Amino acid sequence: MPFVVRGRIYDDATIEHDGSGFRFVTPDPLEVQSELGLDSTTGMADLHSLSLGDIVEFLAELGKRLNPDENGLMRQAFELSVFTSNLPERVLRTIYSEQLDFFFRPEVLIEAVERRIGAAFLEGWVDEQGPDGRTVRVRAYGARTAHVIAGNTPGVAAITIVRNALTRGDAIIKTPRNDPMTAAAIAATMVEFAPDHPLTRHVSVLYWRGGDQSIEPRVFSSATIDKIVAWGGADAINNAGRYVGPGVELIALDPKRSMSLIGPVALDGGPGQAEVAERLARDVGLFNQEGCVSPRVAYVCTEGVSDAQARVRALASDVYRALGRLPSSYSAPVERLPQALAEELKVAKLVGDPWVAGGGTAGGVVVSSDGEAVEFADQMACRYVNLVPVEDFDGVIGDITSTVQTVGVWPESLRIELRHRLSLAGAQRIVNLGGATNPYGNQSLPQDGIEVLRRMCRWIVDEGEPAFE
Amino acid sequence: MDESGEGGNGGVAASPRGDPRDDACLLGDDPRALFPSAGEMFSVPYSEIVSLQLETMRRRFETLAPKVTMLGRLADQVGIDQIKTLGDGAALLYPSGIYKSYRLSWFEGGDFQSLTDWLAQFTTHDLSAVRAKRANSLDQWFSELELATPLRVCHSSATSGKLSFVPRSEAEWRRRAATIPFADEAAGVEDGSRHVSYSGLPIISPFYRSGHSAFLMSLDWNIEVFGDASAVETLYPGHLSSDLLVLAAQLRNAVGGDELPKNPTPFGLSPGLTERWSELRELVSKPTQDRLAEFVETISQRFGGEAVWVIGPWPTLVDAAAMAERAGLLSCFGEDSIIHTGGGAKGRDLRSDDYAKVTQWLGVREIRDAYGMSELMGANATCMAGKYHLNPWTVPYLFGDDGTLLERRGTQKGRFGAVDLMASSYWGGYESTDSVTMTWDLPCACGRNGPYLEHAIERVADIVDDKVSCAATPALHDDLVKVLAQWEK
Repeated sequence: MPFVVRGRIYDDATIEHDGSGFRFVTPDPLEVQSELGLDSTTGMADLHSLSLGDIVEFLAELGKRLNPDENGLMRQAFELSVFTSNLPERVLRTIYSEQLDFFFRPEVLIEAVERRIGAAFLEGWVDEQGPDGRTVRVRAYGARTAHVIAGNTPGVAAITIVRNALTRGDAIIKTPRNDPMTAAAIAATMVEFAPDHPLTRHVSVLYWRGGDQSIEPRVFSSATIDKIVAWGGADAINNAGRYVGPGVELIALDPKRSMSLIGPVALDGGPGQAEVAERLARDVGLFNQEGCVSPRVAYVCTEGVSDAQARVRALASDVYRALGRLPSSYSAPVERLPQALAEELKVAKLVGDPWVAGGGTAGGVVVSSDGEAVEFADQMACRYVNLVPVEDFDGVIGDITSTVQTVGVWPESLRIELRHRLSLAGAQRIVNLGGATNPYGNQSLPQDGIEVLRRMCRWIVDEGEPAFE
Repeated sequence: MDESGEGGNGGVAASPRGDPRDDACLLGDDPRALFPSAGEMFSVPYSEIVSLQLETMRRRFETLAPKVTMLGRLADQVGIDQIKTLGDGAALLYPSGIYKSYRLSWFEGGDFQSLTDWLAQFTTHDLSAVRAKRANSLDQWFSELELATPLRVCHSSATSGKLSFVPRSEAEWRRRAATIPFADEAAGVEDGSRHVSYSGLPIISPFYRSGHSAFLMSLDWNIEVFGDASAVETLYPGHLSSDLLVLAAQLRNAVGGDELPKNPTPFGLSPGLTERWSELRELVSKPTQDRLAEFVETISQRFGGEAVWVIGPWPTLVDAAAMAERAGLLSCFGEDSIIHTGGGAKGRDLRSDDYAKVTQWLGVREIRDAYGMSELMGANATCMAGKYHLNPWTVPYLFGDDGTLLERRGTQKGRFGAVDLMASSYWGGYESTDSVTMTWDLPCACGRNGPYLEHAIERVADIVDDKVSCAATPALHDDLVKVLAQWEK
């Protein structure tokens, strides 16, 4: 994979990286490191000469050029992802061919800016009046930002480049091992069609092994960056946190887990059960559960239900069958389950507790027998979910913390009833069951309880005369 | 398979004697009676061993399948109702996590009855008389089990915070101990003692005297079977509490990094941690390193110059050797001393300073480790060529990445599983988490017959397990000491 640094493509591959079962080569990050940093935000003046309209137009043009059938670099990124990603090839193909472009559509961009920032703040000074009668002015400026991105879906690379452009930021993007190339291919596409454009000149994309002490302290230096946006697992966040200090702010998109809370309607043995099965299968199965929005555990309320265990098992079988009916362009069996999960399933099937519907490479539903999530619930992946029968949701909600992102609830009346308690407990997104995995992203919404777009800006205040009595 | 029968031991072919059906009994119940020495055991053509294995496995299965619930269930699932070929055994291996397939909440919540009911599925022993409800700790549960049954359960090292329990009984521990000398005897073309006895040897072990971890149970039964309890020196004289081990693991897993808060409450640790706080403090009061310095002095004063039997994890032996060197203690014991170690030693291949320091301290020419695991009985010796030779009561299987059984020929790399034919009160089939390279049918330079493993053994990728290696327990103990010492600051 090439590196892209401020409008230049470096493809002199000298360093080999070992994945599990694959290798890829990149240039040496130390050789381009001196080009990366921007000594002063003054160097971003060119970005601030662009109008929002210019930016949206540029991104829309970029989005049209990302189809791997027509773009060799994107094709290479897709082909590498087939090895590096946990997503099956068919699902990856759908994302690259049909979805990435959605992130760049003008109507999506404009909506996101309007709802999360307000276009006027990006375009110029916005008058605000204080209680003392003074008029002050506020404007959103771009920041120099290092992005340590996740690779569970190529969409993370796309949204990072989009957010950087919309906020007029200067981005250094460090790509992950499970998607080393998509961000670089998008940035290289920018270089190909507009090499001198300010938006092109303010994006750099590199790969190095996370935590590499020969490069990270130089790149994440407070002299050249204002913010770090860190996605992903605890290691990635902790590592990024080391560089936070005076002058450097961390926007942490922490590791998250998601869950479902389902009312007794799921056990009616009729249309209610059928609908829940379809909805839960969608949340679990779309994009093969690679996103943190997908639930690993679904709690089913058994209040007033007789023979609850048998009914939950019947629901589990329905969910498993519904997983099999998901469109294969969005969800597919894997070639091999993660070893640790496979071991747990082998034991479960022999012991008979927890009970498992399915259980092969096409996914499965693991039913708890004692009202608690199974001990391997955090290993659920590749379309596996733990169905836990509970008398009520009090205990579950009591255990929710800020590590819980999405809670899918059904029926809708239950969602409305529970959303305040769930929010107080720490959950960040409450949706109707079946809506957790939105194929087109949620660019115009807060993420993980954070206004990411707003926080990527530097909020500058212009004041006139003080209002002395 | 090597059917040459060339044992290299002067042509004394120790073929199985008499009725093969009786030999099959002995292979499972008393291998030391069937084979008086390793030389004789490994000179038997492997094809004969295979016949004995098949007969032994057939009988074990026939006896155990109706009595051991879990085996019966497994046999039903794979559709096997009798053993016709050794290959049938491959389908009858318990998955690696089976011995920790209970709910952690049971003993956190003091529900030792459920734990007993779970254990009962694995053994032929009747556990109905176990007064599990009287137990309110793991240590007490072991006592209740031992009061009411011949079970002498051992457990793994708790690194994951969840113990595996292996349902071994008294008879099996004795049987296992009786086979240990095979690992110290020369065989094939090797030089060295062809018959080893441990009787009369003082026993030295740089850890606790007793406990239910696999390492300590093994030590205890070695002392019981061979030793003189008055001629034993251990680093700590007492019993290592299994509850404290679990608490230590919980503490470590919950707290994570080095920065420890003064107040443990937010970590949701078991209430037992607070209840046993003073015992934990006692452990902190004198770290292992300090005790080790005293220990090397004591054993050299007490047993200096004598042949001894040292049983210890390799990393602890290395630490002890460093202490001894500082104290000027060299060649402390008789050169025919027996050293049993694991968890880091690379036997003959080990060229590091550590190896030299340990041999110089102890005064022995050579230390060889053995391959084994708590779920399978027996120590599989390292030979002069640095290979691990599998004991004949261990019926080995290798599996490819996709779980398919690999052929029993040539040299193959795969996941190791085995049926341990010495297990008679529980089923000995177990799929390990080790990835090994095994040679089935090419002769080894040492002259032993039968399959052997390369020394390099890896963990099967991405399995988080807590397989017992004897290194893990002391390491965990040191962690405990370190963690608690930091906590005290």
